Amino acid sequence: MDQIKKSIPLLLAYVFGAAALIGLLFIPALAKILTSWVGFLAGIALLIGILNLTAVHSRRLAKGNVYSLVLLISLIAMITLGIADYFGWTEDGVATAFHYVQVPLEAAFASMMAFFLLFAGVRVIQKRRNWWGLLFIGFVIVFLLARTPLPGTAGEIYHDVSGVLSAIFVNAGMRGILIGVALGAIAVSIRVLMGLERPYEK
Amino acid sequence: MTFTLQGIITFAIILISAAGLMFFTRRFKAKPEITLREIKAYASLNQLVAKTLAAGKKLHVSAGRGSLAQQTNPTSLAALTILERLSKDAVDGSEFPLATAGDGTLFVASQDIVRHAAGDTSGSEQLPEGRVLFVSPESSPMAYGSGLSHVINSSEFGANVIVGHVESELALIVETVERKGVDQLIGTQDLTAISVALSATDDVLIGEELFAAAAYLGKEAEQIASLQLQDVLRIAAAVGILAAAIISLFAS
Amino acid sequence: MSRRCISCGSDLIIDGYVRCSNCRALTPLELEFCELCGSYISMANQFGHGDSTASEEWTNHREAAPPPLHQATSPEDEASSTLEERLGIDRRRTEARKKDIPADTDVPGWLLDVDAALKSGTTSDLPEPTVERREDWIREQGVALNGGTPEEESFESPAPEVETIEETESLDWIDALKGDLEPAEPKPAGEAETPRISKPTAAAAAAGAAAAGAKKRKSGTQPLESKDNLMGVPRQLAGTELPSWLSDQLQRPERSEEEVPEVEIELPEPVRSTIVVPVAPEPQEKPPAPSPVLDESFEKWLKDFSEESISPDWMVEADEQYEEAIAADILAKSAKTPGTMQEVQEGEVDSAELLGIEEVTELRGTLSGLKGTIQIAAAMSGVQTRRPRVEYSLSKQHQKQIALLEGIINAETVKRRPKTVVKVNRFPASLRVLLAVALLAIVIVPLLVPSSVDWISDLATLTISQPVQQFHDQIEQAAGQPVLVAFDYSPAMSGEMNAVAEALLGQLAANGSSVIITSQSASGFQLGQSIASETEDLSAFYLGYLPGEAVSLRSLARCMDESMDCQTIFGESIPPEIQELLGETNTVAVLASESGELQAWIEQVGAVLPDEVLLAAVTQTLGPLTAPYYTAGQLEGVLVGSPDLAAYEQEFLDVEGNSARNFTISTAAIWLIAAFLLIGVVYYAITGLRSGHSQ
Repeated sequence: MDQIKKSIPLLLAYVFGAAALIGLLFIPALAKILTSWVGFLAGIALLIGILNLTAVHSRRLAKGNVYSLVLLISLIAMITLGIADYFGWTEDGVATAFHYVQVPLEAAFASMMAFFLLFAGVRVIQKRRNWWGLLFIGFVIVFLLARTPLPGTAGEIYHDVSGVLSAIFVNAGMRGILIGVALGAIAVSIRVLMGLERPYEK
Repeated sequence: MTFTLQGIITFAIILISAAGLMFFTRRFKAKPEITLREIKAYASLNQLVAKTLAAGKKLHVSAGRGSLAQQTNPTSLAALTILERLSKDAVDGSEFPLATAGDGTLFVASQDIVRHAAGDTSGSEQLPEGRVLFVSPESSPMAYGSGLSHVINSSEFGANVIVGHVESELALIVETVERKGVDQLIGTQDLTAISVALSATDDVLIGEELFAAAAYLGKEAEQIASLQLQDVLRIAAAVGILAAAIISLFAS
Repeated sequence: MSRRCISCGSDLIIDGYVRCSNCRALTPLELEFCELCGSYISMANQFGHGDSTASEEWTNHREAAPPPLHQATSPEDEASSTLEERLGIDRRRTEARKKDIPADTDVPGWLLDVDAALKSGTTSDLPEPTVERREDWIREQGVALNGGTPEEESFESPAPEVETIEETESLDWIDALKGDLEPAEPKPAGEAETPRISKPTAAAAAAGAAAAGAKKRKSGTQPLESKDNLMGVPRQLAGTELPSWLSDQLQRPERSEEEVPEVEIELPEPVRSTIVVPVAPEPQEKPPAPSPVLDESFEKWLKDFSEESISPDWMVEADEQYEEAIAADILAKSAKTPGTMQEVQEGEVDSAELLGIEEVTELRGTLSGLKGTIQIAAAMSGVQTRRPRVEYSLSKQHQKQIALLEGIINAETVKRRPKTVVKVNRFPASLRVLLAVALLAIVIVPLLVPSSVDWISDLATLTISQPVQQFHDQIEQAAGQPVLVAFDYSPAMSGEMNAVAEALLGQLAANGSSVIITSQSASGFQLGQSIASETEDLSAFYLGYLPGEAVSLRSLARCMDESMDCQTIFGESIPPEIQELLGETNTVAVLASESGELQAWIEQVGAVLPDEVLLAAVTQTLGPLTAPYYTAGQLEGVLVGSPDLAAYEQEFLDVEGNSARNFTISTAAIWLIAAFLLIGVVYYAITGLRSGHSQ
């Protein structure tokens, strides 16, 4: 029984991995069918996820967790607005809630990043008192100023120099990292396709 | 069925890579003598985890917010490999880790991994509540950053490990960790996140180093072979780029 | 008492452990005898680590040291007095005690027998002193020293007289002697000497026991020239009369090194591997041992005492591994301080209270008149009391934890680059507030007083970069044709990206291009829908949210390639008018704030449709990532954040938007940040140089 329990997911992974690969490369119709199935499964998973979320937070609410109460109220409110929008009882209810709640909240957090990145820069100076630290901060300053207008010929020369630095060193480094990441991703994907990496078996 | 040149080349690369992986696996099994180059961050990871657990403290591991069902899949798989290893270490040290995830699929996988690690050691897969947390959906980076900051602030742990797909929201997280005064290790493939991480700690798994997690932590034949395959592909890519550059130089 | 090695100056005390000069093992500070070799620790510690250099120091010291107290004559009196002071011994009392105790009562009968036998050379015929006999003798000693019954004497009771110290030590010495003279006496497997060897072979065990015995007893026969030279021999014997058999031994000429049999022990690998960790006690076969007290090897091992240490390899290994285990123990202890110790640290429990010693008022000596002093004799006796050994038990969990600790030790020994990171305890809150206030001010003040930053816009004109120029050109070329616009930025970045989106949709509307709005995220589509609906004269079609990232995008790319065959994307049906428009679309503009989304468009759609024009408008944080793709031609135009938008609007669009003002403000903020960083670099460079000079 254990053997079957282990081998069925492995078999499914093999079959659908190979089918998806061949479909994407050679048989678009097969890929379409498979992706439709994936979409359907994702929808079901989403529904189960929402039900699970509701159940978990209902339990937590019973224990007195206030955040769970906020979450459940938000969930019910958004579902209600969606239904109301669908039947035409309200107009753009979901969009309004989105624009007046989610957008300002996320934007506020994003704006704080400027502060945190500045703190991070100062911390680098504090902690990393060596040549690498100096180089790091040096490049930060160079590229920060490169994004601003600078007066006169000196400004033009500065932008040219920083452009060359960016094109040679920064681009080369980034390209190297990207290629490395791509190769790593290929290796991991092949391990998954060959069944050597089995995250589904846990 | 449509055969395109691109499709054929892609398929050929995959087949050759698979064959190479099998070859290197066999070779390693026949002659298991290979020295992995030292990646400082992995040495630091071992040290960080050992010290934390020896001090009787908890470990926080976040597998990022890359979905398993999307393009971030390989990154998230690598992150889960690290989570698996650290969970086993943590459970061996009589302490469940605190695992967090910024995506639904990753959350389910993280939960299974921690539970599995618990079962392996203690025979019981019962997890205490709140040891694996879903922070936010993958599409809300700031929600993930702020949510994880809250988790970090409100939890007691001795070391913070963030591996997987994160982006600029990492600035929020590392600042919180720094304020808490906890040692941390970060591993990601995202360029923005790498630059943020390097400002916070020396222990950063940069890009492909993250994908070597299975080989460095597991040291199984297939994982080592996978690294060798990566090296071969890297050399091939380098040769290809060089050849293309020379050809374009002469062509112009 | 010195705690530093006089040969190398290194500290001999490590976290509550002291290094034995004989075998180099770490022994808990409270023990007077080494746990491994049984050597007397306290005074020997000042003579190095037991290596050859240290041995030389030891020898030199012996030569330079004053003669024994009972032989002290005027030339050496000064030196010996100093030594006595260091030892805290009242010489007059020692002398007085010597008179009180007859020589005969100092040595038990069985030892006199030994003495006689040694003199006559018939050691093998001697009877073994029984435990009872020795205990009797101890009792007698107790009576002789105290003038009371042994029952009246208690280790716990504080004893103000110096003699009490000596008496306590004498008992310890008896214990030690007992241990020395009974090598074959069965010991519990959990004891310090044995637990590191779980199942040695009989021969190896015998050899090992002999070697261990030799090591253990070596220190006992150091020439008794001074009290501090005594190792493993009670100090009162050095100061008073020695048993004659010991005197004889000391008077005998030392044997040459060749005469000393070499102990060659080769333990099998499995045995070595078991040396590392104390294991659960297992009943093991008692190794065949020499005759308890006197046999033909007696003289040999007595001789061994005065020779250099003969440490077989396996003992050296055992020592090293034992030290590792102790180090791990230290680490574990330091990691988690026991509750009792925490109480001590907090001052809640007095050390005397812990030891169960009452504090008294000092009546004489240098501390005369001081109240609340702890009687050192009692304290010492309390500390020196040997605790019953806890038997080790090793579960699977313990083994894993041990492996973990070994991991720490191994990690510590990994050769690492020199640390250049300065550990900063905490980012100063005042600095944090200063930076935050300055940054807020530089953003808010221009919003309230726009003219305050006019000088920045006057300073330099905005320039159009090549990627921006191409972005504009491609949009213009697509005039009248449908353009697919992907809103793949999160609401968090809407502050920066909404302005870009508004400008782009405005231009497309002006060009008469139809726009197909889509996104890989639900929130992104919501943002796009909202902006599109607010753009005047825009012909917008809503493809909707595409779940499934790369897979969906690849399907979409195929739809753009084969429009008439494409009815669904990721299971979602596509309206016919959009199907038609997709087939006509040649330009795709991606508005992105995250690398994953942008890469998905480049690598999926760009790969399937290499002839399509792919443009990107991104946040400033994502700007550097676009450079390689632009250079490679995968992106044909790039617009990065507010700086490029300000230039774009100024150059190509006849729009007086907020982008120019936003850019000016962000320029001011960037300059401020750069200034802070520069000041920081200079400040820490100066303070770093200063601290370097002061060192």
